[in-house]
Amino acid sequence: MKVVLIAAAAIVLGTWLGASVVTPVGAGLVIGFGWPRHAARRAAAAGALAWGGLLVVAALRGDAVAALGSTLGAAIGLPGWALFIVTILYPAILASSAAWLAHLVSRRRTPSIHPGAPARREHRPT
Amino acid sequence: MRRLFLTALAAAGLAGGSWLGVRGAGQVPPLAPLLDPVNGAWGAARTELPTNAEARIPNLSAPVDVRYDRRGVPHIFAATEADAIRALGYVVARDRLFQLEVQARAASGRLTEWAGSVALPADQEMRRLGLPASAEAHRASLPAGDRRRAMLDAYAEGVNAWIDALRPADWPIEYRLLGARPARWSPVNTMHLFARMGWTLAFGSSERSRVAVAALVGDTAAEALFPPHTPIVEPIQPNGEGRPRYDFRPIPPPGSPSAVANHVTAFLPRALPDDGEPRPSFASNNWAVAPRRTAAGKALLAGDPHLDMSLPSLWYEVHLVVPGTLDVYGVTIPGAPGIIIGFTRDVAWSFTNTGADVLDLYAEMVDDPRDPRKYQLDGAWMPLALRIETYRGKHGEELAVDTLRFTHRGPLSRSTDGRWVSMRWTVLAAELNQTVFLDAARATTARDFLDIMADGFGAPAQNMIVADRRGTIAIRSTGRFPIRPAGTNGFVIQDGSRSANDWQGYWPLERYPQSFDPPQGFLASANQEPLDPRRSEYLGLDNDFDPWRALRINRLLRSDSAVTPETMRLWQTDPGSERAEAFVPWFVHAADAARARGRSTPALDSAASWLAAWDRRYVPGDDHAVLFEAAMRQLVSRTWDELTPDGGRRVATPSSAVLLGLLRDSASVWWDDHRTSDVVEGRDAILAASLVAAHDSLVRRFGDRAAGGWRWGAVGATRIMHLLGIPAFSERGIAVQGGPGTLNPASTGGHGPSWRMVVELGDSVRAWGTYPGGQSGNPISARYRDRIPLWRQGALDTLFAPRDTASLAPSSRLRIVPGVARRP
Repeated sequence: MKVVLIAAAAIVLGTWLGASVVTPVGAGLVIGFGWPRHAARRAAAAGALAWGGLLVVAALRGDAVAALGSTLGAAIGLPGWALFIVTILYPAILASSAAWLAHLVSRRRTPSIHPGAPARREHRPT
Repeated sequence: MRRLFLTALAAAGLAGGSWLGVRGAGQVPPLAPLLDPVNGAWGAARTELPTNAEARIPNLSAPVDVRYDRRGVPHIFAATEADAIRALGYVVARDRLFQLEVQARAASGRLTEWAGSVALPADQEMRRLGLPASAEAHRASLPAGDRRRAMLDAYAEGVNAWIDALRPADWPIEYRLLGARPARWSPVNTMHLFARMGWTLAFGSSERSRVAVAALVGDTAAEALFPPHTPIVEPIQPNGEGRPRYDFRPIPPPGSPSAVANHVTAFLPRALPDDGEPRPSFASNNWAVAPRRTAAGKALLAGDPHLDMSLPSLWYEVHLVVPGTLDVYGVTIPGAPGIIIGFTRDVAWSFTNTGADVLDLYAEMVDDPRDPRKYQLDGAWMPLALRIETYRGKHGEELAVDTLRFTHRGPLSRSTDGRWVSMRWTVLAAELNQTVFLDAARATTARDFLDIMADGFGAPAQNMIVADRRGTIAIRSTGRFPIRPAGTNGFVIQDGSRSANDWQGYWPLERYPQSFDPPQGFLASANQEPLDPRRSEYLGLDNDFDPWRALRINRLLRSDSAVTPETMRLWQTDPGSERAEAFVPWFVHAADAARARGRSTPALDSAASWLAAWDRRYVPGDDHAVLFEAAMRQLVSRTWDELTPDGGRRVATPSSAVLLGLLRDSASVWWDDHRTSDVVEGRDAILAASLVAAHDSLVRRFGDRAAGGWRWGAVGATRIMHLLGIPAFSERGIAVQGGPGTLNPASTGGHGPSWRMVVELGDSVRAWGTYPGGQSGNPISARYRDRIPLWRQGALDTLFAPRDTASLAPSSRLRIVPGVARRP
């Protein structure tokens, strides 16, 4: 959970600074290399939490988030709720994809049972 | 295997997500800037103006105070006129940045850079007409230090100050959808904007209708069908007759096709839409009443320009105050450094389109028809001016290249049969002073105002009505009206090889259609012919002069000698129709005649009685008007079948005034429907058949009238589309009071009253107004379309023009100080 929150905060900061593609990817890579257990899920949660949280903050601030979602969604042929979902999914997909691939790369060095699970120790005959 | 699949999926997600995020694909814009909750489209959810804000504009001489009232109207208080214009550019960009740019791109033929090759035809039309070239030449011709140049630069400084300080989160949402970013504003864009207005309002092609019809039915018939003067006369410049005059003339039968006309039709520019009635002209109304005919003894003025209605609106409401110099309230067009229509403490004004013929074509003899470099003039070969136009796509790639050629008259274009034709057009002449509206806003009398406008306003010609606080009312059709060589007029294609065929100048001011304080005590223009044909010469074709609204407003004005502002407001949406008053009796008469001859049918009787029961008012709840409109379309189609080539579309449609004249000749051969070979129809047969066909078509389309599907509010509903045509950003199905030929013709769809204003001028000025839209260009904002309900009802807001900042409790305040704009 802590990893997810830290990654989400990093994504928020990166997005704020204008790196809206790079930051979720970067966060995913860091999670994939550093915390390989359920890396993809953690990264996805961080991405979704970050952008979803930003939307919630905007709504609490009084921005017409719901109106924008429905109007812009309609403009691009989506139902009103879909734009929210797409917005939350987009950083989640970027981050989880990066995390998965990072984990695969790292597993070549420390093989695991499967991606997302803790790295398996080499069993040596005793 | 599963792992491999998941790995491939992850790789695809990362690569695809990154690519779509940064570049987009096909119609999908880059997703990251669209979805980014901080810097992306979600930023458009911040719709409200901050209570207090500060901005910087370079070259400002002193701080400017901008106060927004509760209607979102900025009141700009500045120390100098140039500062006021800088602030105007800033506040317009703040609310309408995308509109500013899309209009400039459309006018300069650069839409392909946003939309790709799909926009190429539109861009080519603009550039091939020479509009961008003309705008650039005008801009270049302004010397350094020239006031006009200074004002254009000041406006650009204001717009660019907003752009330079713009965070990506504040980009208008349309940029996200297009995958584009705002471009800085060039002063020449203002020139482009005015050139585009000229194209919108004065690109009439008189040559087309007349020549195309002559190619089918001969010159004599064509001249009668498209007369140079309207047969229904109630001109803008009052003729003292106090009522309309009907100068109908017999229409000779169709003759042999004109070989000459047939030859020259290939020269004609792009055809205008022609789908039944004459084209729905960009009509407008304005009228003024002298104090002796108003209840309060003060001059009253109403303005009501009918233009393309769009979201955001063409207009932006604003108040400019420069103490001791300028105090003007009204509407500007984003990109224009001034108030186009509005009022001051002394005068109020509004415009309607004159519709004069200010475009002529010349058949040119060139040295090489495949690649001309010279054209012949008075026996000598003259060099053509060349200009290369390159059209670029979204990523700067070259889409197409045009070589434009210009004679001394204007752009040269190749006709469909390989010949070359040049065009002379007042809109391309360097005769519009873009700051004339600022200059005129300093006028203190009606005559001053009109004289300033006459000096600086060349095209598109406008019927400018004005009233002043002393009680003067006046109107003048202002613009450049060409003096053509003796014996010629504007609806023939001239021989371009002779300079004697060139225009010989422009009408002098004293010949302009005009009237000051006429004895009748009121003035009105609604795009009717400006001058009485018995006392004037050629100004344009009858088809461009729609008489019905003029007849209506003149009737209303004559009937009331104690006019109030409220009456003026009600008249703006008066549902009565002079056109229906003129035509309905003929349909009813035809049904009576059929009944008398024993040839009636239940369908005809039913339709005729339904039409006869109509009060001829286009109100939303009415269910008769739809039958009349359908019957009129049938009548036009069946009457003018001679003008429809086999298997084709009607080449042109005579005006409804000409059709009304034809109704007086029951046996004219024009009534015979050539599509029926076994019978010769007369007038009444065509009228009856039209009525029955209309009735049947309505039943098929909307069901039985008792079911309620014929309601005018549903059938005649109007729409106001977003500039990109995005339905979610548009407003459709707006039931309005009014119909074709009424004072509020909005029901015809897409165009209509774009700014309604009523002003009372006395010791103090009182004004009311609204437009179909809202001040904000942000589709999410509550201020985007908040005025539409009021507009639909025909109601007006009170326009508040405080003299100073202390008189206004603002809902939002913007302080602009000198300095370099930068991002917050």
